[in-house]
Amino acid sequence: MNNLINYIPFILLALFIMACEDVVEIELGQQEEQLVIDGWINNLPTEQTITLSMTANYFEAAATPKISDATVTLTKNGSTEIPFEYSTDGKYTAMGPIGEVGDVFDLEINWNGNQYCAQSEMNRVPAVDSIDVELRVDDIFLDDGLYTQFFARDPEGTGDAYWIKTFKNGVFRNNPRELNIAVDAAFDAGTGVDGIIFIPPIRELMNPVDQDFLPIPWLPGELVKVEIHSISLAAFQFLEIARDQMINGDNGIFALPVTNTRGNVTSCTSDALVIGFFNVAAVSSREKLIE
Amino acid sequence: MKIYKNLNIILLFLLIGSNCALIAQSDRVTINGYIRDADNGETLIGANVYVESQSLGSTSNEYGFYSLSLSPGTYQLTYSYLGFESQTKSVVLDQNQTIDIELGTASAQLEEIVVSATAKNANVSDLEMSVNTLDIQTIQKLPTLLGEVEILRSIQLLPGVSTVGEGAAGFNVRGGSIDQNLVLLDEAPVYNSSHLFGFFSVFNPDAVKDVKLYKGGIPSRYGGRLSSILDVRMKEGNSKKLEVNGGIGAIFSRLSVEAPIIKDKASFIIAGRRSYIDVLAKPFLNDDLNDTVLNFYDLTVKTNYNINDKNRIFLSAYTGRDNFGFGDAAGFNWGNRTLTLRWNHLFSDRLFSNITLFASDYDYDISFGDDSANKFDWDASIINYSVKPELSFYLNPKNLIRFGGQSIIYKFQPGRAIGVSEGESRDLSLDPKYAIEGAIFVEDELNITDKLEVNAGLRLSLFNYTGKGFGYTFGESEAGTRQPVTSANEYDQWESIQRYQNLEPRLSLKYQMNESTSFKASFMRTAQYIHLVSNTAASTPVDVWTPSTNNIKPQMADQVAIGYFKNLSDNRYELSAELYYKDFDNLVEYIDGADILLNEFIEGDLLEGDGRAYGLEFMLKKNEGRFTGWLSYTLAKTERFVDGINNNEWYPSRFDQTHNLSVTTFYDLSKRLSLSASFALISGTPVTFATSRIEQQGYVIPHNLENSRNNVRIPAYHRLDLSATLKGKDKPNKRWKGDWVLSIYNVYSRRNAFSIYFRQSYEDRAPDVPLQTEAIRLSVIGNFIPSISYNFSF
Repeated sequence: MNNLINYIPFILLALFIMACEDVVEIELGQQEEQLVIDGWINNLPTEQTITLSMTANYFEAAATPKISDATVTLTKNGSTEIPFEYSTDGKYTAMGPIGEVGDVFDLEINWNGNQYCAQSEMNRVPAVDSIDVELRVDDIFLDDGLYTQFFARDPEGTGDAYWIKTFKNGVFRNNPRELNIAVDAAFDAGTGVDGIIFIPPIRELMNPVDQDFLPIPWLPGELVKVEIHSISLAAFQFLEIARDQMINGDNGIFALPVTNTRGNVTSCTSDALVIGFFNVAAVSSREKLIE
Repeated sequence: MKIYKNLNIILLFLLIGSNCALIAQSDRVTINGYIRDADNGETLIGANVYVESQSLGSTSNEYGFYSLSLSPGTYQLTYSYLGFESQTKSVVLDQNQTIDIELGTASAQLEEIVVSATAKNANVSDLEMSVNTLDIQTIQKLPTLLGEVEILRSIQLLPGVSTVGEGAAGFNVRGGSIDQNLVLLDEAPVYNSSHLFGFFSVFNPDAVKDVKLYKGGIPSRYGGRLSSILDVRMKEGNSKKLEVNGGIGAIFSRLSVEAPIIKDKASFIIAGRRSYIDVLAKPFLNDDLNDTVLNFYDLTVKTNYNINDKNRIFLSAYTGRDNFGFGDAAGFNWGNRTLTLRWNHLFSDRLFSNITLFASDYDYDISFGDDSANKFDWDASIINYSVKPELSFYLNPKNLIRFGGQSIIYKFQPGRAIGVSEGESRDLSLDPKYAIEGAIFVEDELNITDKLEVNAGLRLSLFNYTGKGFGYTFGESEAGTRQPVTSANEYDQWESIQRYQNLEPRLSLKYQMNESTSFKASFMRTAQYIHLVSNTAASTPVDVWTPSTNNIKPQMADQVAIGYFKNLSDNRYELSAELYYKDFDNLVEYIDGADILLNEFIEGDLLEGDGRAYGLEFMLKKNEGRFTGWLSYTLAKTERFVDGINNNEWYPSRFDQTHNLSVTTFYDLSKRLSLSASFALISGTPVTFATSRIEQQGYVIPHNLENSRNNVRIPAYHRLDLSATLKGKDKPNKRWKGDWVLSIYNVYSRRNAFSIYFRQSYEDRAPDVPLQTEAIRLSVIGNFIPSISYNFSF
C-alpha cells in the first residue's frame, strides 16, 4: 500500500513552503562493475529483446556499457530451444511469438566464463475491455481537459500480478512516476482483494503526470495505448522496489530506506554476482485515438 | 483475565505486608501534607522538605504530597522549591500532623534568591540519574520556531536526546527508536505526539505544569517502553482566582481559562489551541481550492476536587486533531484522545495511594473519491483502557516503599478500508487485534547510610496476545525477504494466541561523597510489547501500532549507566557526566520493499534485529543570577544488526549522532526585557547512497553495489536561535499583562540537510537518451524564520 503515501505530497506541498532543495555535488568514488540482465520479454509476435549491460556510476549521464560477447538461450518447457542472436548495443533478439500462457521458460546466459540462469512462467492476463475518455472541468487537482482510464477485470483467484504500460503516440511512457503495477487489480498483495475491475488510482495512472505528479490531459489527435503484462509476484516486488527507489526523492522527510531491487537471475555455476530480472509476460492491449 | 486475578492477589499481599510494617513502626509520628504554589494553588512536584537537626528530608511526589515520620520532638522544617521563597516552620511533633504549605514565588528575579542549600543541590543529592526535568517557565523562555512554545523541541536540547532530523515526529533517546518512548499526558499514553507531521507537539504549553524525561534508571513503577518515559503533567487549574492566558502566534492562537470552582477545594482548566493557516489562506485560494481544509487543534481540560484531607480526585481529558481536506476529493485527518481519572487517597499518614483509570486512543482516517461508485475510505486506530493502582508507603524518612500494578486492554485496528470500483465494493479491512498487558511492581527507596542511597525495584510484566482473530504461522525464507504464510489458526475473543512475561529488575544507587559531589549508577531491564510499524525516515501519521504476536517477540533492552554529579560555587553551577551502555534485542525491522499498510500478513514483512548504543553525556547548568542556561554535550554511537541487512554487519541507525552539542542561555536585561539564545551543533546523521545505475526496460534504477545501509553521513547540523521577551508594565491595579516575544529561528539561514537523496529527471526521454541524475540536499528549514507573538494573561 505504499502507493497511498504518494498522495500525501499534495498535502506536504502546502506545508513545506519553508523547506528547500539544493543540488549538491557527491563523489561516489570508483566502483567495480556488475553484469545487469534486462530480460523482460512477452508473447507478442514481435522481436523479443534481452539486453546485457554493466552497472555504471549513478551520476554518469551516459549509456551504460553494453555486453556483446555473450550467448543467450531460452528453453521452453524444458525442451524447445529458442536462441537469441546478438544484434547491436547489448541487445540479443529472437522473433516472437515465443510461447503461450502456462509455458515455462529457462534463460541461460554464458559470459566471461560464467553461466547465469533464471526461470519464468507465462501467467494469465485479462483483456483490456475499454479505454474511457472523459472531459473533466473544475476538478480540484486537475487542469481542465481530457483524461483517460482503462477498464479490465482481474480473473478470480489471488496472486495475479500485472505491469500496465502506457504508450503515447506509440512511445512507451518510461517516467518512473507512471510505473503502474498491480496485484489482483489493487495496489498490493495481502489485501484480500480479488476478481474486481482494476481500482481507480491504477486505472487513472495511465495518464501521464507532470512535475508536480499531477495528471496531464490528453489532446485530440493523440493515440493512447494500454498494455497489461502478466508478471510474477517476484517481478512485481522487483518493480515495486525499483519504482519506490526511483521516486524516493518525492517522499522528502518520509523517504523509504534506500534498498536494492532483488532480481531473479543468478549465477548457476559460481558465486559471480548478477543483477536484473527475467520475466515472460502474456500481453493484452487496447488503443484509442483521442477525439 | 487471569492477569487481573494474579494482580489482585499480589496487591493484597503487598497491602497486608505494609500494614504489618505500620504497626512495627508505631513509635514514630508522621507529618504530611501538600506543597503548593501560593499564587495559584498548583501543587509543586519535587519540592523539598528538610529537617535541619536530623539532616533528613523528603520531596513531594507527582501530586505534591510529602510525608515524613520522626520521633516525637520539636523540629525546624524548611520547605523549598527552586524559584520560590523557602519557608521554615517550627513544629512541635507529639502526634501525627498535616501541614499543607504554600510557597510564594521569589519576589525579584534579578536579586540573588536565597533558598536553602538542600533544595539547590538536588542534582547531586537526588537518587535519580539520567533524568531531566524542565519546568514550563524554562520551556516558555526558549527561542521558538514560529513563536510556538514547544515541549518536544525543548527536550531535544538535553543530552542523550536526538532526532532523525528537523520536522520529524518524535525523538530518540539513547539509541532508541521513537516508539520506545512512553509519552504520558497525565498518565495516559499519547501514541502520536505531533501536529503537522512533526513540526509541533500536541501539548498545549498553557496546560502543562511539568515535564520529566527518564532516559535511564527508570523506576519499576514505569514500564512498557524500552528507552524513555516522558512524563507530562497537566496543571490542575488555579484554585485561588480566575486566570486567563492566551496568545497569538504565527501558527496557533491559544486561550486557556482556569478558575476555582470552590476556592481551595476544586478548580478547573480549559486550554485550547487552533491553527489558522486556512483562515489566513482562504482569500488567496482560487475556486478549485475553496473547499480546502487545513487545520489542527487541541483541547485540554482538567478538573480536580479535594473531597477532604484524605481524598482528592482529578479528571483530565485531551483531544487533538489535524485535518486536511480537498473538498470531497480527498481527506486526511488524525488525532489522539485521552481521558484520565485519578483518585489520591491517604490510607494513613504514611500510606499514600493513587488509582488511575485511563482511556487513550489514536486514530486516522483517509478518504479519496468524490464519486460514490469510485472511492476509497480507510481508517485505523489503537485504543486502550487501563487501571493503575499505585501505593507509596513512607516507612520512615529513610525508607519509601512503592508498589502497585497496571493492567491495559488494547484493541488495535490496523486498517479498515472499503474500496469501491465502478460501484463494486470490496472490503479490504484487516482483522482487529487484541491484547492484554499487565504488570506488578515493587520498589524500595532506601537510605542505607548517610552517603549511600538505593532504589531497588522489580517489575513483572505480562502480555497476552489474544483473539478474536487469526494467529498465523510463517515459513522460512532467505534472510531479509518476505516470509510466506503457511497456516492460520482461528481464535475466540480473549483466547490466548501467545503469552509473554518478563522480569524487569531496576536498580539505582547514589553514593554521596560530600555536600557537592556524588556518584550514581543504575541498571534497568525494560520490555516493550507494542511496536510502531514505520520504515520511513521520519514516522508518518499513518504508521500503525502492532502488538507482540506469536511471530513478533517483545523488544527488550538492558541499560547500565554510571554518573558523576558535582555542584560548584555554592550550587551556582550543576555539572553532570554520565556514561551508558544499552543492549537491545528483538528490535522490529523491515524487509526491503516491506508493505506495512493494509497487509494482513505484515508479520511476514518484519525482521528481528539487535541493537547497541553507548555514549557519554555531559551537562553543565547555571540556575541563578541574570545569566542562566545550560550546555549539553553527547558523544554517542547507536547501531543495529539485522540478518539480511548490510551484509549481516552492524550499521549505524538513521538517528546516530556522534557529537551533539547544544548551548542554551537566558539573560535578564532588565525587569521587563529578557533574552535567550540556543545553539546546536550536531554530527550529520547517516543515510544510504546508491553507488550505481542499472538499466531495465528504459528505466534507470539506483543500486548500491556494496549492499550497505547508512553508509554515508550528511554534513553536520548547526543552528542558532534567538529570542527576546518584553514583559508588559507591571501595574498593581491592572490585571491585564501582555508579553511580546520576538524569535528568530535559524538566525544565519543555514540550510541544514535533513537528508541527501538522489533524484532523476522526470522529463520525457527517448530510451536511448541517457538519464540525468543529481543529488539533492533537502533542508526542511531553508532560511531564517522570524516570528512575533503576543501572549496575555489576566
